[in-house]
Amino acid sequence: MQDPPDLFERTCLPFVPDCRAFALSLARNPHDADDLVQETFLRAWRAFHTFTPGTNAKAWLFTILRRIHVDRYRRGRLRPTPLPEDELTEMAGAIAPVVVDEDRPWDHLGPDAVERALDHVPDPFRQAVRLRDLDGLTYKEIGEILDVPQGTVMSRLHRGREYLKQALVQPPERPSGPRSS
Amino acid sequence: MRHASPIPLPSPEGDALELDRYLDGEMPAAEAATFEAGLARDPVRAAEAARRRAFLDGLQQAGAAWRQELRSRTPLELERRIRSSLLAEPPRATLLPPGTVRSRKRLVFALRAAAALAIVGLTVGLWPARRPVAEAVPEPALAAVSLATALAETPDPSTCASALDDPRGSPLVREGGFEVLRCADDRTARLRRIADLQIVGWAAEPAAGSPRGPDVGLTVLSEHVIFDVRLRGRHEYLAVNRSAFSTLHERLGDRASCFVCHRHSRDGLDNPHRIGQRAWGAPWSADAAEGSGR
Repeated sequence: MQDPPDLFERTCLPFVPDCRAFALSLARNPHDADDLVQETFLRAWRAFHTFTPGTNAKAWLFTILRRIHVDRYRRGRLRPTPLPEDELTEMAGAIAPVVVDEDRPWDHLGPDAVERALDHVPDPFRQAVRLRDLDGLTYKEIGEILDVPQGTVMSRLHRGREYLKQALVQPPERPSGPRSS
Repeated sequence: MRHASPIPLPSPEGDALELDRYLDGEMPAAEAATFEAGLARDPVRAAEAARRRAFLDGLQQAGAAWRQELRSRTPLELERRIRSSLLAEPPRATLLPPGTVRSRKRLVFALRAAAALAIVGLTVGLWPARRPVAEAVPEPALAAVSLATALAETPDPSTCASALDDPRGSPLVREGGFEVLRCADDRTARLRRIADLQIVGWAAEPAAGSPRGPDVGLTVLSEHVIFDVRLRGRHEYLAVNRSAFSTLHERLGDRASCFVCHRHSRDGLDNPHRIGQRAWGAPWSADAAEGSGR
């Protein structure tokens, strides 16, 4: 039996950066993201006795984080701009399929470029790709975090990757000037 | 969000989804073997799978590189805020073994049920027989009453005086490898560190514009919060009970950490320190303090 503060320190706190990146992808502004992360760790600390040692702490934290985000969104405290699934599907049909060389289009691009390209992927698809390919989570974990069935995870992941590939090979036009972080 | 020209994108085919599932390692072994056998029989699909694998490998490598950079992108202030907010919360009960589920609601329910049992026990046991309470209350109810009483009080099993009397029995010595030098009051001891403690905490520096004072380190142990102060070239340590500190933190927020040391002379002042994160797991050194929070 291990001591909760020490175990929490070792199990959860190393994921502050991961949680912040996930929070940024949801909230889209650093102030709200930091708020989300702080609340996430506070709730995780309060509920740490329910955490099962040996399971994926990052996925557990992400689930808490997303639920807080959804709660806040419902209460109008955040201002994200998610679109309904129908609209996203229509949007999916409106994006040009580009014939590209699929062999590592990012060979000349850094991780920043992947993150920037992800910004141009519609939200639910972006989350699936981020959680799988950047955060390394399983389909099951992603399904739990996003609260969708695994079939939906597969579909969103596939489409998200297609959008990402397009954005990497043919980045969308963006306004000139420095990019805010 | 800007998008390219509106040319229809075909819906993802089931095959493409299955290919991703296979390449992501999400297929059970038997199913994956069947899938591989299918690829081996179909060179077109095999070539498509090879391209997709290259794409996903590259994406996941980019993801790994991205993860490497995450820590440097996270503001130190955020981690400090998180730790401060955790300090304000009392430590929770120990973790249960894997597979055991316990929720706050269940605990509350159990306490309420036990309290109800206690009342019933008292009523049934005392009224007709007029026996003493200790005999009338059933054993589980007694346990519940004890727990409720314990929760209502701030547990502080070790006073500084007892630590002086029996240093080896002191949790401070057990937890942090400290030697108790003298007591400031019942709950506060001045300590000397016996062995080098691996510091996990923050280092405080004087805020901009304030007179240069000693560097202060803060280490959170399971039952205590330790402040280490660098004075005239040597370290002094001050330990406070963590529960007491949490209570203080609820009232004073971040100022609590300075209030602990300065309450006699600087009560009411704003926190004069700027607190930066100390190197993770690094032993205390002047260099570490100089390098932190900047």
